Formats: sequence, structure tokens, C-alpha cells
Amino acid sequence: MTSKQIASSVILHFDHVVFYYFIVVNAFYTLLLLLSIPEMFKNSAFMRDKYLDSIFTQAVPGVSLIAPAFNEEASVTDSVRAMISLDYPSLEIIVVNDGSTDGTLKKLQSEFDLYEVPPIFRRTLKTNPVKAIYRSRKHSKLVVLDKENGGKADALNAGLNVSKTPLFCALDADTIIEPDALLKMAIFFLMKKDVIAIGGTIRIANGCTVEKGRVVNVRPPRSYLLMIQVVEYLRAFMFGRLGLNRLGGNLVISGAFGLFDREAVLLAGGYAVDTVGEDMELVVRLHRYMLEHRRPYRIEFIPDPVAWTEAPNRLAPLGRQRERWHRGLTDSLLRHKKILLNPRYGAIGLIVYPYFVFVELIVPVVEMLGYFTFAISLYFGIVGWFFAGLFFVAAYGFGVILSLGSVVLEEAYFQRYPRFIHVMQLIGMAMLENGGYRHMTVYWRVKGIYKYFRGEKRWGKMEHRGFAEGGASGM
Amino acid sequence: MRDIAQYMLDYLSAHSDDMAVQFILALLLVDVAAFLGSILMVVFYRLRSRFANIFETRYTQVAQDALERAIADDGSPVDEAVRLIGKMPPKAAGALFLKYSRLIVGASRERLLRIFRRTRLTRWTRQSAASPQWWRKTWAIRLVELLPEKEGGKFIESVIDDRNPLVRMGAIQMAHIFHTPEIMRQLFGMLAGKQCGEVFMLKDTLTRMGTRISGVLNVFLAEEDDEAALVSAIEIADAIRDTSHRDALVKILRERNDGAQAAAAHALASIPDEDVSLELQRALRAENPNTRAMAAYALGKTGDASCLNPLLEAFQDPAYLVRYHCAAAIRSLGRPGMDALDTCRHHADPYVADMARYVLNLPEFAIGAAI
Repeated sequence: MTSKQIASSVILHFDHVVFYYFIVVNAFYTLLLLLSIPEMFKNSAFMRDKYLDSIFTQAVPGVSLIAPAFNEEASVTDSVRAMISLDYPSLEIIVVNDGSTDGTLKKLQSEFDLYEVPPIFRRTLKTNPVKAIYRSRKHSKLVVLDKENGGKADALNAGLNVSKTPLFCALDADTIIEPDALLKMAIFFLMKKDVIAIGGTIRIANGCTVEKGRVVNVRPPRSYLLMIQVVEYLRAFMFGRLGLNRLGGNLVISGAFGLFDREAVLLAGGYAVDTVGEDMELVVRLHRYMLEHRRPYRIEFIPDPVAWTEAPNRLAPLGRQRERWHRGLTDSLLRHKKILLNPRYGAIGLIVYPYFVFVELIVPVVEMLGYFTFAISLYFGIVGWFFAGLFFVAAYGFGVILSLGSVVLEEAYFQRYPRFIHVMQLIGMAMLENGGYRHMTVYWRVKGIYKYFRGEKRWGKMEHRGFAEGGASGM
Repeated sequence: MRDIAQYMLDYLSAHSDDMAVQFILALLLVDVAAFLGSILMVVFYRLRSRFANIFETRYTQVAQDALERAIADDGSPVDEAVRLIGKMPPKAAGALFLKYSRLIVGASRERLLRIFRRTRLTRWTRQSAASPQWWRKTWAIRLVELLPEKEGGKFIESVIDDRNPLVRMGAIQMAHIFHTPEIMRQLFGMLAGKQCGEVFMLKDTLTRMGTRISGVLNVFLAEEDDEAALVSAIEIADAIRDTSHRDALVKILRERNDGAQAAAAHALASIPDEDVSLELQRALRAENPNTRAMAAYALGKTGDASCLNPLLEAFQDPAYLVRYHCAAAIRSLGRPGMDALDTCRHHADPYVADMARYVLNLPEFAIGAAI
């Protein structure tokens, strides 16, 4: 056998591996899509019943909104005002000034008329020193913590130490929660036993009209890059996470919007400060802690409570975001590799964790290698052009179907986009998503893995344009 | 073009028994079918909601206008509202009732109830109460005010410990309307062993029943052993502020050494008298630091200047929380307290001096409030 024949054989075998991997991955995606339908149906009774809160509103457990702020002088007061305006009967808002070097604290002090109170709280989680705690003369539910800089996770841990409510929600500065979203999530804590965390849907606010910290007019953004992200978010939340509910639970509750049982998080040790994916790492650790201590628990995703976030509208920050997400995913999965295929961890160890490792984590690597070897195979005539074309069209079509499936679920249960033309635009984007955008995300994710193994721990610079009052932002 | 098509056909016929090609062709077929299906579904859902909205908006609007005229009691005929509401689908009519019952109080609310009781919604509520379906039961719970009091009370009694959490918690929430002895007994019985959310609801409902539960609550305070349930009951007593609970609370303060003891100290703040003040002063030396802190808090609330010296003694307590509540209580005793705190600013113990400074700088409204 000549070396050329050996090389051809290796490439052909790798093509086969990629082909079978493609079948398995897409079969799993299809399964998730199918499972998300009954899951959505199960939740629809709550989602459509506008008056369900009439039997719950009076007695929902208290919730702390913990919002870390680092150099957010420009937007911090708007964010806090939006939080104060939320419809929730028992709310505590904890803003953690994480050693800002700009005027974030001064802005808060002047805007909300803060006064210092004695720093009485249990230091259950170790954090960088808290310099002072303030309360507001104007809004009794607002607490401001001033601490030395230690990063987002450290700030969240400090907020957790100070919080007094049974539930808490960690919020990003660029997130707008719908007024009834917290109530919808808290109802699940009342209704189901042993719930320790609930995740809600995140949607993209770019293009929508925002007034007084609320999204008042929903419409997709005009830019191609943003509109594709709208479809991408729909797919991730509508069937990805919903389908995983049925398979044993979610490993991700977005850091931008999730409601947690404070006691459970404290027991698990709070947020890890040495990772960029502290949200996912916490959820994985919660699973692990509960399973290892044989405590009954539920971590679920529900599709209706919605928070809106600002998505990057340029390629460079989008690339940094995706790269960071994948670094966080890699870190969380490798830290808890003990769970993988371990029957002790039940469905999480045998189904959900392997899905995250073999699909979410390594799919960009396999996909990139697949493109590479496929190109070589075509060049050397190992695979025929017609077969390659057929395969490409079928794979592309299947990707489109999965995205379309989430648009259909959105239409069937939510119809957040009021105009038909907007839905048609989303369908158009679902068709375009697999033509270039997906390949860029593959590149960013592979880069994320590479940077993780090089030991990079930085967040990378993110851009926040803010939600323009009364108009569309980030177009 | 024809050549390409011919090539494709030739390729496919030559590879018709190749599994990979068969799979890809099948996948293509699925793609096309699913694509067309998705588009059709999107169009279907959009049209369905459009027509439903038009129907609901117009129909509900007419009934709503008639209802508003009838509630206004300006001589407009009530029958018209009853007729229009009667024609609405039950859930839409129920939603209309809930919408207005939230907004309206007093005599207008009575008129609202009278109007809705005359519609067929009452019959539907009764049928829903008897239905085995949980979602029908939740509707019956929400509309339970439309039923006669005795019938409503019996229904709530029957579902207050339902297996379905939504039904159970809905019943707990609405139980305050009926407060029959059986319902009260059931609610107290549920205080132990329930998860956090349900306890919130139980406490809320029992508190809303006010002094009507005092008798049952006193028995519960005297007999209950479970610490969590007892703390919940004490918190209810704290919210009701009925002096008849004093003896039971004092007994808990004297005899226990746990969270219930601290909760009892806190609750006694709302029913102060001389004996209570002495008990609280004694509690400043309790073993449990939370009890000491709550006793200081309660003494501050009594405003009794004779407590100044015991509070100043307790101000040097090793626990930070106790020191804070002592300082806050001292400040709330008026001028003598302020002077004493001012002196403490130069105390040899830096922790005491610091705390005195903190508390003197707090705004008036924040004294004794949550920190």
C-alpha cells in the first residue's frame, strides 16, 4: 500500500466518522425538538392563563435581584430604576459595586439618596472585603454594596451573603426582565416540590422599543447579524433547553436570567470565581452536590418568563462573546468530568452530560475537521462532487428545519412578534443562518477551546450600547 | 442544464442501492416536507390568533361596556350586562370577573358580585368545583366568591389538601374568605412539614383571617413542638398583634432555646406591657444570640426608658447583631438614649464605639428597620 493510498483510506474513514457523527447529532437535535413539544404543551396552561397570578400573588417568597456593577456609571441608574419598577410583591434589589474606578457609586448615592448601614451579614461565602453597605432613602428595597474588585462571580457571592430572601436572581446590567417574569418563575417554586433553580427565556432586545426600562414594542432588528442571533436564541431556548427538561434536566441556566434557591446555592458553595462560565459551572455543581448528597431536587427551564438582552452588533464583540461562552463550557465540563457516563449521577451522568460533552463541546471541532477533510476528499476525488453537493444540501436543509421548528413553536405558543412580516423575516433568517454565520460560530468556538487550553481566563472586552429610551437600540 | 439533470439521474440510478445516498435522499424529502409544513403552521397559527383576537376584542368590549354601566348604578339596566356576560365563553367571562374584582371595592364590588351571580358563570363555577380536572378546579377556586358562602366554604375545605399543588395553593390563598373552624384547623395542621412556598401562603392566609384565629392559634402556640411550624405560628401572632397571645409567647420566650424563642421575643414587641418588658430584659441574657438581639429590638419598640441600663449593659455583647439592636433600641428611647450613645462613641471598646457612631448616623426611619 502506498502512502497516498494510506492517506486516502484515513481521509475516507474520517469522512465516514463525520457522516455518522452528523447523523447521531442531528438525531439528537430532532429528539430534543420533538420532546420540546409536549414540554411546551405542559407549560401552556400556565403561560396562557393570564389570571393565574390571582391565586398566587399575595404569598410568593421574597426574591433578591443581585446586579454586579463594574464601571457602569452611564447605565447603572437606568438599570436600577428598571429593577425597581418590576411587578413583584416581595423584592430586594442588591447592587454590588465591584470596585468600580469610575463614578458608579457616586451616581447611585446621588440618584437614590443612599445612607450607610452597619455591615451585618453572615459571611457564608468568602469574598473580597466589603467596604460598606448602603440603603436608599427613596426606595426601601434597594441595597448597595461597595466592595473591592474581585470579578463578577465574587460580586455575586457578596450579594448572596447579604441577601435575606429565599430566592435570588442574578442579573446582567444589559438585561431587562419583563414585569411579570419573576412572578411566573416564583410560581414554579411554589407549585413543584424541591425546585432549586429555574431558567427563563432570553430574547434579543436590539430593534425593540424600550421605555422606562420595559420593552414596549417588539420587532426584530434590521441588521443581518442581529436578526440571525434572534433565530439562534429562539432555537437554543425553544427546543434545546426545553427538550433537555424531559431528558433529566438542564446544565445551563443563563447568567443573565435565572431564579435560584439561595440556600441550595450557599450549600453548593456559591459561584466559582476562577472561571468565565460561572453560570453554567454553578448549575453543574448544583446537580453534582444534590446527587452526591442524595437530596431530591429539580432544575428546570420554563419558556415563558422572558428577559431581554442586548446582543453584540459587530463581528468582533460577537466573536469574543462566543469564544468566552465556549471557554466557560469547556471549563465547566472538564471540572466536573467525574459526572460523565457515571451511573451514580443518573440521567444527568448518562444522558445530559454526555450530550454536552459529545455534542455541545466537541461539535465545532468535528465540524471544522469535517470541512477540512471533506475539502481534501473532494480535491483528491475520494468523494464525488455530486454526492458532496447532495450531502451539503440535505445537511443545510436539516439545519434550516431545526431553526424553523423553533420559529413554529414561537408562533404556536407566544407570538411575541406582532407583525406577520417580522415572522417571515425570521423564517428568512432561519434559512440564511446555515450559510456563513454558523461557520463563523464554529471558528469562534474552536478558538474558545484553544484559548481555554492555553489558560486564558479573561472575559474579553464587551460593548454595551445601552437601551435607547423610546427608540430602537443597537440597530 | 439538461446535461446536469441527466448526470444527476445517471448518478442516482447507478447508486440507488448505496445506503448513504438513500439516506441523504430521504433526508432531503424530510427537509422539503418539514419546510412546507412549518410555513403552513406559521400561517395557520397567525390566522387563528388574528380571528380569535378580533372576535374576543369586539365581543368582550360590548359586555364590558354593559358591565361598567351596570356597576356604576346610574339606573342602567343590569339585565343587559347579565345577558351579554351569559353569552360569553365561561373562561372569558371568568377573566372579566377577575379583572373587575381586582379593581373594585366596597359597594360597587357587591354589585359586581350580584351581577355575576345571576349569570351562568355561577353554574359553570359549581360544575368546575365538581370536575375531576385540575384546571377546572383552579377556575372554581378563583371564582369561588360567586358561590353561596356555605357551598364555597365546603368546596375550599374539600380541596385545601388536594394532591395537585396548584389547586391546593389556590385553595389556601382563598381560604381567608371562609374561615370556618374546619378550614382553620386544616391550615394550622399544614404548617408543619410543608415547603417554603406553601408556608408563605399559609402564613399569609392565616394572617388575613386576623383575630378570628386567635383561639386556635393560642392552642397551637401552647402545644406545637416542631420548631419551624412554631416559628411560623409566632410570626402570624406577630402580624395579628392580639394581646391574647401574650402568655403563650412569654412561655415560649422563657422555656425554649431556639429560633422560636427569638421569634417570640420579636413578636412581643408588638404587645408591650410592664411584665413583657421585664421578660425581655431577662432575655437579654439568653444563651441564643438571636434571642438577645430580638429582645433588644423589642425593648427598643416599647420605648420604655427604664430599659436604658439593661440595654447599655447588653451593648457590650460579643455578637455584632446584638450590639446593633441594642444601639438601635437605645437610640429609640429618645433624648436619654441619644446622650448615652453619644457617650459610647468614645467607649474604650472600638466595636462599641463604631456601632454607636453607625447608629447615630442612621436616618430616623431606619432605626430598628431591616438592615
